[in-house]
Amino acid sequence: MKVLIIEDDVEAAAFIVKGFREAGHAPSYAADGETGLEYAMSDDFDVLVVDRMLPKRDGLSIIAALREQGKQTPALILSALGEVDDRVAGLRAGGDDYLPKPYAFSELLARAEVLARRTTPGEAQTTYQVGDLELDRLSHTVKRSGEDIPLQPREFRLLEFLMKNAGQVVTRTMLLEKVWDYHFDPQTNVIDVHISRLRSKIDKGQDKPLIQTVRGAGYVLRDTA
Amino acid sequence: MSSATRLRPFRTTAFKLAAGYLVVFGLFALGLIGYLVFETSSVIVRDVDQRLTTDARRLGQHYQRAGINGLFAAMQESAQRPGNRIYALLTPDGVEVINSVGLLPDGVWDEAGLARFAYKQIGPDGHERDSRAIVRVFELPDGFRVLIGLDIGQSDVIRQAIGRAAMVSMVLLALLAVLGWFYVNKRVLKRLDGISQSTARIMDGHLSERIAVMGTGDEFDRLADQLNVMLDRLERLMNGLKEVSDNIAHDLRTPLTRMRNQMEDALRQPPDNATDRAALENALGEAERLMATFQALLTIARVEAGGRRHTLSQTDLGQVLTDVMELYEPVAEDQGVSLTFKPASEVVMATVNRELVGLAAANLVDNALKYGAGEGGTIELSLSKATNVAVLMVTDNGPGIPNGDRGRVKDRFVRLDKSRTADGSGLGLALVEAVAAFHDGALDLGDAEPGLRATLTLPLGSPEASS
Repeated sequence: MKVLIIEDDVEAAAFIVKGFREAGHAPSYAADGETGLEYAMSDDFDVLVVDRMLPKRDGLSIIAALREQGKQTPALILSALGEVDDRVAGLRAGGDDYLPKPYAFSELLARAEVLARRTTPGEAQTTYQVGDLELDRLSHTVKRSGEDIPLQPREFRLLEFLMKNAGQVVTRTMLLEKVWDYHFDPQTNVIDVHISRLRSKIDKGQDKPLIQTVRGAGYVLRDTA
Repeated sequence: MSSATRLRPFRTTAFKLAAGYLVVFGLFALGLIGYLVFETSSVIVRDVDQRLTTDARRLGQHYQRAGINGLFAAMQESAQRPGNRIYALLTPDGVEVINSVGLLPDGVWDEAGLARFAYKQIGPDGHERDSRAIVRVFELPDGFRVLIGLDIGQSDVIRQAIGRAAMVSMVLLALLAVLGWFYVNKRVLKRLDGISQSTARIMDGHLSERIAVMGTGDEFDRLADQLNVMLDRLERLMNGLKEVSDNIAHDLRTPLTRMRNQMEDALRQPPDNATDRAALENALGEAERLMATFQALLTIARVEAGGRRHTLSQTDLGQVLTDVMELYEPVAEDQGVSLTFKPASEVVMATVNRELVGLAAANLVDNALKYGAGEGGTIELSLSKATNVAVLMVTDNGPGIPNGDRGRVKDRFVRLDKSRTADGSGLGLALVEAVAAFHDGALDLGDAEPGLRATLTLPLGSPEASS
């Protein structure tokens, strides 16, 4: 995927660029707001990673300018502010996700990848299928190898998010955000326990486990076949 | 007191107020007295006129009955009676055949009707004295002129009395103004001066100094109360800041040193991929814990700074607690702890920051799981509604917190577990306390006998406050 990083901290930018390259992506880099906006306008990127405070032009105004020009490239905002309402301000300006500094690179990578995959906003898929696992959003049913698996509502939402982003690493913070709508960092292993419960219902007794743990990052639901 | 703040009597508000009031009330008193004088004399004139008219009617009857001679006789008789009546009769030739008072001023006969004049009255002892009179002159058909009148020397006495009263009251007024000035100066300005002295001392660094409250309940007490509340908050923030820097120095140094030692140790060893990786992973874990601690500290600082009222919205607290219970239920089950939620009998809506309240509830449950309930223990969340407040309770049946430590555990980095083997930053309760303060609520730690009962009280707030 083509990712544009607009970040004025050279060291942080170099770290991010290196990380994206190692993950098999094609990162570009701009050190100030004006250049960043120019790049973003002239090329088709899959995702933008925009620092909020930049020389010449701040991150939110870049995104607002892009949206005004009809550019819908998903944008992830990085911010050192991290105030409760900064997230709201960022998302209101047209940002698609928000990550307060300091962050772990694995978190940034996972979020950027999820954003890039989201081609059209508001796509409403009613069923998901990964391997022999099926999820029907309308009838609220989950089947593995054609066999019904009863799930709690919360487990259903957890699985739905994993299946929607199948093949994609999702972090614990993302899960807490999407499934519980809380944006704090789950300090304890609460999310892991939820995943292990879900796993025991989905993968128990199966020779091909679908939910996998990605060390130091999060989880991925993937058909390993 | 420095010379810059010393009171200059004529530039003070008290002086200006007193002077202003003196002028306003002086003008008002003058107007009132003028009006009184005017009203009094017009009342007197009306009264006199009425009496003169009655007298004239009486004399008129004599005239009609017995002609000029009858009138003459009646007037002659009336003029000899003692009193302040004035009678005079003028013949067509201009001879005053009757005059009860002596010398009448010139021209008094010229015009018929009501007139007032000053004249010389000859008293019974033969002395002249100045007097004033109101008279009415009638012209008879046969050329005679009749003057009847009333000496009103007395009405001037009334006027003088009013004038004297006015003088006295003006003096009293001035005296009162001066007294008022002194009073305001003493009571009001002294207190204002006290407030500025206290603030000056506070600015000098005496942060625990407070403004004296007299207990009179007046506006100065209210002002002092408000200022003291503000100062309390300021002091808390300042102390918080100091505490944070102290704690960062003390508590973060340990993991940083540990991390540094591990790295140093790894570098001293001969290069070996597996050991190096293990050391790096250790260091990364240490760094992540440090970052989490920083994150928690920053969150506390931001929440304590407050002032983001616009992040509040109408929130179903029962839903928040249900979410938190669902979030922690599997962890609790894994630890063999029963986690239950006892909802309120009705829906409890409050104007709060949902994110923060959720975070606080999660912290309380997390705390109860870490330090409270052990294997086989119970944690009960409950929600109830009291007058204008929502009461969130997290009760465990663990060892609880000794009474003396309950205030302390709310401070940052305080962990009663001295060995510090349990993970956690020691910031959980400090964060809950900050969330409580953010909402003008309170966190109370009590004894559940056995166990700890953490009670978070949140004002329901007004729905209009949300946006």
